[in-house]
Amino acid sequence: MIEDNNHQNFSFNGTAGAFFGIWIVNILLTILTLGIYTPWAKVRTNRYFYGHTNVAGSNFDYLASPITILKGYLIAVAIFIVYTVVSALAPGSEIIFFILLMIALPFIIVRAMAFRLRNTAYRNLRFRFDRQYGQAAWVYLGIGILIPLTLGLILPYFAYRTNKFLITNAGYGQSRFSLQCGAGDFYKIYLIALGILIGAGIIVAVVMMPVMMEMKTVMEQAAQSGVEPDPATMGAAMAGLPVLIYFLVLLLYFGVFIYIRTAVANLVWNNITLDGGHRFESSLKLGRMAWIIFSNMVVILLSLGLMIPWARVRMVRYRMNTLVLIPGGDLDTFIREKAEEESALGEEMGDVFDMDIGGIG
Amino acid sequence: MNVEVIWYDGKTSRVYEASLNFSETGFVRLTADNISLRYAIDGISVAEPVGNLKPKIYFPDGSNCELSDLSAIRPYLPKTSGLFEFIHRCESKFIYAAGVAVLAVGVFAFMILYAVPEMARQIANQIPPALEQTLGRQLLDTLDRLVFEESRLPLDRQAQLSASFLKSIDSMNSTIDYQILFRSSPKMGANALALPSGIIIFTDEIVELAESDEALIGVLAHEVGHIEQRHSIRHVLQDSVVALLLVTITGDISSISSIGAALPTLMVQLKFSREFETEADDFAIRYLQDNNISTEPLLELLKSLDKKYDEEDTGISNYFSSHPATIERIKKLKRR
Repeated sequence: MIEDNNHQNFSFNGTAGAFFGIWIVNILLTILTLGIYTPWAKVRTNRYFYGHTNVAGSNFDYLASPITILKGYLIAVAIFIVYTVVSALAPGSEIIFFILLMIALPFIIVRAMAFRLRNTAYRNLRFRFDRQYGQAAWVYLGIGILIPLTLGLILPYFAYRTNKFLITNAGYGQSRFSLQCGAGDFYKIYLIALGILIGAGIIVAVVMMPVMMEMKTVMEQAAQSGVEPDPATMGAAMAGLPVLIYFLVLLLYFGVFIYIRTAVANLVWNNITLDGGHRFESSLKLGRMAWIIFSNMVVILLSLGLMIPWARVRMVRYRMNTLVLIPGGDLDTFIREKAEEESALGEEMGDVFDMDIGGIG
Repeated sequence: MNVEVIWYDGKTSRVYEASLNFSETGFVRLTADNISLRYAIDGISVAEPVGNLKPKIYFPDGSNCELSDLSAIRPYLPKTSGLFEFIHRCESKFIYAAGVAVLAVGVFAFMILYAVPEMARQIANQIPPALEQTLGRQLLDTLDRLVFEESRLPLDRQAQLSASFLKSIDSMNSTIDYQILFRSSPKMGANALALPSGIIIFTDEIVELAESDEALIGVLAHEVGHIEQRHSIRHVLQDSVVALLLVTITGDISSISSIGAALPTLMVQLKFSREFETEADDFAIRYLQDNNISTEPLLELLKSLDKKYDEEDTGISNYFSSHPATIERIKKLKRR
């Protein structure tokens, strides 16, 4: 099969050592400049990660200008100061700010996506994101508001719509991305997650029940014999049990969270197509993801943060090692978007609230 | 001078093997397949170096090229910013990066140990009394809702203690209006709290635990020390600035990896807390000495507060504690 020989593996060839240098210099300069260096730090970090991400013999490029990002940050800081002052002078006005922020959310998401993709290039062709504010408002606010109203039943549908929105509005040169899967696939993932939660809850209850019964008997015997049970032992048991249950529940939620993220990432990547029949294949393994995230956390904790660069490189490397591009044809024939120069205008506030928009990460 | 490069035309995603020729002064000629282009050197720009990324040259027509090594053609190219050359050297040479790491830790320690506390002290002194009163009242409301119940001490006992406390405070020449409150708190146990604007709360449990009123005067002086030195506001300010600093370093708040920043943040915040306790202890000791009151009753009260009190207890747990080790506090009291 031609297709089989044609698989193009993504790869990340950055190293923890090299990134540590960039990271530590960024931190020092950010502190010394009281945060003004942040945009330069961001650009250097992104250039490092994009530049070391390769597929089909070429790497990616991050092209944003730090000055543009700085303008965005200054606007964000100004808004934050206004918010702080106003909410201190007029208590209760936070709710108005919250509503304004909610209304601005679709706008912010679209702007941030457009800024990020327009400044991402592969083989010197930029990606892009159509600025569909109305669509964003409908998906994020219109459907989003239904989540609490439907007691979360619509959550998988919401995840589907946001992913679809982010992907179908993205493009590479003149080619567009599209998403082939439907809401049903998302429901399947969330149902399995729910099943895990319920199943684990039952197991915990079954395991805990004998322990509880045992404690009850000990107490009753003590009461009958008139001898006080050893307070230290009883205290430890009483205090230990809730802590144990708390950790189990935390671990469970952590696991389910990682399951959803992994499954959604695989589902979405496996169903993205790019005009010309190009497809992707993502084969993230749940166990490996959980192990990387968990051990990264432990290592960062134990190293008081100094291993953050190592952890980040490790995560990205696994991400890229499990991603494959299946070209539907010649990769040399993508063409630049004609309107590109015009759309670059008037975006000074670029990534005012630059943020990571989940889903396809 | 000729170098081989990978050239991208900027119009398509095609990959060209090309070569750059610098034989003509002020110009560079690019040849790929049957294409031949001439660019003025002034119009091209070189990407600032980052880590061990391959160098990139951007041409005015939107095309760019990547090459494995810039050093051979460096003399022909426009100068890149010296500042970023230096930054790049710091990033990529191990010894420089190690130096930067040491410097960063130093600057960071300076910020946390000196700059932030000093800044908080300055700001705390500027806070208008009206704002302090609002803060104090809000805090009291919250505590009343969550941990406090009405005091069960007899009213005449409360009145007698209040009078004696206020008399002691009078001798401290304070400009702050103090307010003494009593609350029962099974949740909190024996404790006393100082809230902004001069509210001092004693729990019934600590009043009952104290063997003499003199011990309670010691506790009072400790709490007055907190208030006079505006510890609660300084604490809030310092905690938030440190949290902000650490989040800046770890990148973003949302990512799971920044849970790793939570532990250092907590440790720094606990260190602040211990420092404030020590300051308040010093204030109390000074007051007791100046007024010829024995520190012995306060010492005994501290011992009975710390049920796990152990003469040998000076281990690592110290770093995870909001108060200085009881042994340290008692040593200090004994020294006087």
